[in-house]
Amino acid sequence: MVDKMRSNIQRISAVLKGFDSLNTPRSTHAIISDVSMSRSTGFALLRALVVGGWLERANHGFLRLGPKAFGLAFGSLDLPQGLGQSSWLVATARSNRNQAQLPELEWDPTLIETVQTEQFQKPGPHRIGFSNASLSNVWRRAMMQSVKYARYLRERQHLKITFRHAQDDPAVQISQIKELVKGGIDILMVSAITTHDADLSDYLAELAAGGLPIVAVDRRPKNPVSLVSFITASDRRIGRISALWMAEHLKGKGRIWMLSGRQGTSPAMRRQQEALAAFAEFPSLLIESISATNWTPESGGNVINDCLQKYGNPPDGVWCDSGLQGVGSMQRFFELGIKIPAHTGGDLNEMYRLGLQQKVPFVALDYPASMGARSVEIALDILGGRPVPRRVEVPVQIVLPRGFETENVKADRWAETHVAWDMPNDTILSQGPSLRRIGVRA
Amino acid sequence: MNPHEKAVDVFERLMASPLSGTIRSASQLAQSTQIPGSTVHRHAAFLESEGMLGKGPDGAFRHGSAASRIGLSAMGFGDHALRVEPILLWLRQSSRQTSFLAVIQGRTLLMGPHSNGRNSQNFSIRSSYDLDHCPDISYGSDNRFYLGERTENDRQRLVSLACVARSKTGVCVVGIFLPSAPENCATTENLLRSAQERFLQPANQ
Repeated sequence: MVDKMRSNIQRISAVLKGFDSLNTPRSTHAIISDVSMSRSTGFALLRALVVGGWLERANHGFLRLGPKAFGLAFGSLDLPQGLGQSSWLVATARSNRNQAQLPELEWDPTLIETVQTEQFQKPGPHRIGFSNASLSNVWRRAMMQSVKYARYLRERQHLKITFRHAQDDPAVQISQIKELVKGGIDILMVSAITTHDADLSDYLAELAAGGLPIVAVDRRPKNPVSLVSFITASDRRIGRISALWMAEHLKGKGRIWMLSGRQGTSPAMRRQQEALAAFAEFPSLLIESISATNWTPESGGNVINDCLQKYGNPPDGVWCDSGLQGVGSMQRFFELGIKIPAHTGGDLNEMYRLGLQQKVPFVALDYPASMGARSVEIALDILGGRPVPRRVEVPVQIVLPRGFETENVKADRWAETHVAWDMPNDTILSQGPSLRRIGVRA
Repeated sequence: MNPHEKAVDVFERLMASPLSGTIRSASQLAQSTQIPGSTVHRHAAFLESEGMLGKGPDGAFRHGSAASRIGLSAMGFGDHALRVEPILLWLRQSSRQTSFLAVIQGRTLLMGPHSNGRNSQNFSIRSSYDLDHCPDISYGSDNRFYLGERTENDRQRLVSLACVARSKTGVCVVGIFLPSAPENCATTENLLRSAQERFLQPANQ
């Protein structure tokens, strides 16, 4: 038998992964055969794993996961960080008072739907085609860095990812997907340009019907029926929490200008809907203007120019669904010598730097660019025949400068520790490990 | 030590490294495990690519999704692996309390994945606890326990547990740290019951 694994660490990982969810005992011969080990290596390694407590003997010739393996389940899913002990105590006392009024967050039942993927199982090395809407803003470039980091980790497994960026043109995106499929791919990752594009939706449904597994990342097509899984973040949470913070910070009254993202995209629409619903709970708040932007600083600044011309006085708050345009808004007030009003947004390092330097009240919920790497993991789980969630929401942290928490919006992390003073202004802080990975650039 | 025992030892040291929550690079990993840097670099990249190791929002190594699934499978509860993250995060965000999945064996609570809430950050979470009394956890009921040594008026370690599943090896529970103010416990335990129901729902495929 040919020993395909390069190291014993790889073999150990494969052995432990080979047990089912109920820890049904497996024969030593089946384990050795599945991991493609020689018999001598296989028996010696399994014996060492039993001695170490990672495996235990069930019946004669049968093994199952041992007591030490349970320790692998121990770990923090996400860690609110940078909140010092004294801050915790103050915040704890305050939030304990309000605990009884704490609103239950909406639950999305699709988060626990799973999809069986045995029919897509293929031996490696795997080929992924990624049809990306564009690289038109820094967030999209950070998401690509995250995807490339995932590829970098799998260099030794010869993972191939072919990228195509459609420059925000739906027709180009369809033709690029055709090109990817023609070139030969095992799975398609797609980040759709808009949710309104019926042609893209129909074409993806056709590909799915032909047996090609498809995952969407960040933005999904109009009809999700073609997707095995959709990797995103909770746009509803971003929209609702940011609006709730602004309403509470303004004590329920004042004038607000809303700067949404790119028109027609699913994240922008959902964030705006949720924000409007949250603002509607505060009848003394006036939503004076709602504008679409291109998720760029320039478009954010231009909207502020137009609004200042139209309304004269600056508003009490500027709600932005992202810091990509939010930073342009802050900059414009700063350049005009106007005190920067309360803002929402985040994402961009510059937004944090400017907000902290100018002592702007703001809340930030970074849309996690690390979803790029997560989508590669899901794609590889599908090609490995492992069940995957129908919808994955990468966690979103609430980031606030010290002293700006409100009754119902508390920080997961302080802006003062989240900002990267040593990194460029256009850094996207939510891209995960690729952030400081030299050599991984979009 | 033969090469296979040595490999198991290296694997064990690498997989134990996330427990400190402070290791952010392969070189720090090499230092803490006392394994040569080039070996660590190669193995850490592989384990990260396989989902055995991952990196948190702060860049520190932690157990990855595959490790979590193996861990739960070891107790016969692997079917819950894909639900753990969304349910525990929802529970933590709704309650601001630390939420967790754990397995009870006798009077020992083996801690699994958890999401740290800001109201229960005054002590670090350990991988196992002795419970202050022998649990009788049944479906549909919640149960309060103190984790670890209890001091007078110490409510910080008071948790509520709800049964999610049973296997030959133990009882799988979803749990939450209760707030310091007793009047707020009912709200928190209502949230816990909602989380329990979500774990009990049949898989929708």
